[in-house]
Amino acid sequence: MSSSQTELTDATTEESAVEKKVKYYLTPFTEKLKLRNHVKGCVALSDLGVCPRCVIRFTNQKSLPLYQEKEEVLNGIIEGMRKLVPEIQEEENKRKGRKEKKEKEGKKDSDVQMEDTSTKKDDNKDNNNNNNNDNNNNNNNNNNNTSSPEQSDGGEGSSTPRQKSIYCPACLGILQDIGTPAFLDKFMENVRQNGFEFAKYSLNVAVPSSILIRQQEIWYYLRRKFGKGGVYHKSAPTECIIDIKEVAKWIIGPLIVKKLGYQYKSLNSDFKIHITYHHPETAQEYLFVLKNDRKRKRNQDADEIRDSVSNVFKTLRFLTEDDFIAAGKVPPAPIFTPYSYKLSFEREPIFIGGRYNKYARNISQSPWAPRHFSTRVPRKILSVEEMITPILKPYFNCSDMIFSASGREDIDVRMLGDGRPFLIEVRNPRRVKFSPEEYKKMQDEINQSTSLIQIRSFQRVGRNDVLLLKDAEENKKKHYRCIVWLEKPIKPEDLDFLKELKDMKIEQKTPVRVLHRRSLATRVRLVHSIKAEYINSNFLRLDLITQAGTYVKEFIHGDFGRTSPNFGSMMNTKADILQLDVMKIDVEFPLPDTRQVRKDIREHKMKKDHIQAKKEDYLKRAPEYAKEEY
Amino acid sequence: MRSVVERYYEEYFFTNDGGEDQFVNQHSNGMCVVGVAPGHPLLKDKKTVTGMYYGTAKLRNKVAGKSKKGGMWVEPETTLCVVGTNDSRYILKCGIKGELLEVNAKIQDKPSLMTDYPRTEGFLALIMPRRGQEALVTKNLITFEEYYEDRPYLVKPTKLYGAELEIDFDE
Repeated sequence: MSSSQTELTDATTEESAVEKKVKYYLTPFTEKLKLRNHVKGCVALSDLGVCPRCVIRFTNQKSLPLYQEKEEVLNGIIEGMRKLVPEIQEEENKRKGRKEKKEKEGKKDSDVQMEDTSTKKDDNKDNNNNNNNDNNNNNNNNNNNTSSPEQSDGGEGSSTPRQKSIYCPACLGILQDIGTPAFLDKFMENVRQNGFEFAKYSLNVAVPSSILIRQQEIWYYLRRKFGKGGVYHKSAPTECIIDIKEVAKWIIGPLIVKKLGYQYKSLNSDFKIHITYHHPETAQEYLFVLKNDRKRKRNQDADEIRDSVSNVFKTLRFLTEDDFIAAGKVPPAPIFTPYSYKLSFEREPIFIGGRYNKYARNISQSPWAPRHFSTRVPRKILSVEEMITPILKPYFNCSDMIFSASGREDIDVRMLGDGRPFLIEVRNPRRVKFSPEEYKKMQDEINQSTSLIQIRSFQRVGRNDVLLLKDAEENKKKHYRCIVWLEKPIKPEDLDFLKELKDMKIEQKTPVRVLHRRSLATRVRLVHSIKAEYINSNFLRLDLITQAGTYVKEFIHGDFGRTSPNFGSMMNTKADILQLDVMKIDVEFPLPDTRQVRKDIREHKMKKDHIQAKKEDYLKRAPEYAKEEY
Repeated sequence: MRSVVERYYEEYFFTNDGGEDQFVNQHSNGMCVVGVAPGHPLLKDKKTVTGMYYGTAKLRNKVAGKSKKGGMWVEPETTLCVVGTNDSRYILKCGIKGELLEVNAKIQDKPSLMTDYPRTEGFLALIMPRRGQEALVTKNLITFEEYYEDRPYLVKPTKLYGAELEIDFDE
C-alpha cells in the first residue's frame, strides 16, 4: 500500500516537473504584451499541424533552452496557449466594444487623438480586430483585405478539407524528432564513426529550399488571418522568425559536445560536420517560385545554381503575397512523407613536402596522357606525382592529394643534386599526427619502390610554404649541366672567353615547342655564368647558372634564331644540345621546423644532470621540504 | 645523330607545277614552320637573292594571349612573301590553313639566311592550325619519303649534322 502511494507521489512529482517547466515558459506569454499577441497565431499554426518548435520559431523567441526542452514540455506549452485563447478573445471583444461605443458617441478628433497616443498598442490591435470582424470600418486602414479571411483553417480558395498529417508542414519533420533518442542515438553513432583526427569542430546544416518557401507561405497565412499590423507587420519574415538551421544547431550542437566530447569552434574550425536534409515530396516546390519570377532572366543559369537555396531565397523577394495566395499556397499544403538526411565530413587539409630527384629521361612531373600518341610519343607516360602520391594516400586516408612543385623539368631532363622542392596538399586527411620516424618510413617506402625517382627531407610543412615554392620558381637561380655539339670544330682556347662571362642578357621568343600553351612573347633573361669543359673538337660539357624561367635548350640550339644571342651564335657556328640535367635549385626547402629546433635547444639545455643539480641545491637550502615527494 | 628538326618535327612538303617546292615542318604540338624546300629553284640552282619582302600587313601581325588571338588567317594559297633574284621573282605561299603567328623578319635584312639555312634560321613563318585541326592541315601535303622519292636528283638528308655519338654522357 505504501509503495503504491509513493509511486503515486512519484508520478505526481514527475508530472509536476514538466508542469513546472510549462508554467515557466508560459509566463512570458501571459504577462508580456508582445507575446500575448502571438498566442492566437500560435494556436492557429498548431491547428494546421505545425510542430511546437516551429510554432515557437514564429514567435521570434531566441531562448536556446526552450528549443532544447523535451517534446512533452513543448506540447504542454502549446496546450497552455490554447487555454489562454478564450481569455484573450474576451479582452479583444471588450476593447472592440469600447471603441465602437466611442465612435458612436462621436467624440472630438482631439480626444480621439489623445487616446491614440496613450494606448497606441491597443489601437493597433483594434485595427486588427476591425479588419478581422468588420470590413466596413475602413477609416484608418492601410490594409486592403479582399475577402473575409476567417472562413476556414484550410487553404485559401480551396474547397476540399485539409487532410491531417503527422508531419509539420513548416520544418518537414526535421524539428519534430530531433530531440528524441530514436533520432539522436543513430545520429551520434553516425557522427562518431567519422574516423577523423581533429581539434575543434563546427556544424553546418543545409535544408531543402521548400522550407524557405513554406516559411514565407505560413507567414502570409498569419498575416491574412490576424492582420498585417502588430506582430506580423514585417513583410519579410526572416527578420522575425528564428531560422530552422539555428534551432537544429542549438539542439544538436551541445549534445555532440556532451556525448562525443568534441570541442566546438564556430569559425575556422578544422573539422566540419555537414548535415544535408532532403525531402523528395516537396523537392519541386521551388519551381513555382522560379516560374513566377518575371523580373529576372534565369535561363542562362545552370541547374545547380537554379535549384540552390540561395537562388530561391533571392527570387522569393520578387514575388508578392498575392502570387502565393492566388496559387493556393497560403497556407502550404500538408506533407505525408518523412525527411531524410545525409552526413558528410570535411577536414582542413595538411601539407607535406620534401625534395625529389629524377634519374630517368622519360618521366614527366605530373600525370600526362598524350592526346596524339605515335611512335615518338608513347601512350602512357610515367610521372613523378604518380610514383609518390599513391603510396602516401593510405597513411593519411584522405580524399585527395594535390601535388605541386617549384617549377618542373622536361620529360627528357634529369633532376640531380639535392632535388626539386615539392609539396602535397592532403585533403580531408583522417589521420594527421605522424612522428618524424613515420615520415622517414614513408620516405623509405617511396625510395625503395623505384630507382627512377628518389625523395628526401620528407616532412610536414606549413600551409604557406607553397608561397616559398612559387617564389623559388620565379626568382631563384637554377644550375644546369648539358652536353653540347658544335658543327664547326673548335680548340680549347676558343672557350676561354666564357670565363669572363657574367650576367649576359639574352632575348628569347617563346619556344615553338611550348607555343601551344604559352603566349607568344619575347622574354629577357640572364645567363649568370657558363663553365665549359672541352671533351673533343665538337663536343663540350657546359655548366650554366641561369635566371629562373630561362629556356636552356633554346639558348643552346637557338630555336631557329628566335633566341638571341644563343650559344651557337656565340661560338660562331651551329650548336645542338644532346642532354640536359638540372643540377641545383637554389632555395632552402623544407625549412627547418623552427618550433622543433627551439624545442631541441630547450631540451639540450635542461639536461638531466642540470635538473638534478638544481634539485640538490634546493634540498640543501630547505631540509624540511626534503621529506616531501615530488 | 638527329638535329632539332629531325627530333621534334614531322617534315611535309608542297609544290606547284613549276617545281617551286616549300616545306611545312610540323612540331608534335601542331605548330607549323614554313620555309623553302631543297627542290625550289632558289636552292636547287643556288640563286642569289637580291631582295624580298613580306608586306606591311604581315610584318605588323600581332597575336595576344595564350590562344594567340588577332593573327591573320591564311590559306594554303595565300601569298607569304615575294623573293627577287637576279633574273626572276618567286612568290612563296603559306601552304596550310591556319593563323599566322610570326614571320621571320630577319631574312628581310639578311636574305642569305634563307638560302643558307632554309630549314632553321632561314624559315619563313610560323603558322598555327585551328585547334583540333592539327592533323588535318597536313593531310594533303607530300610526306618526306614521297618527296625525295620523286626527286632522285636531290640529296636526301639522312644525317644533317655529322658525327656519331660514341661517348656515354650519363654518369
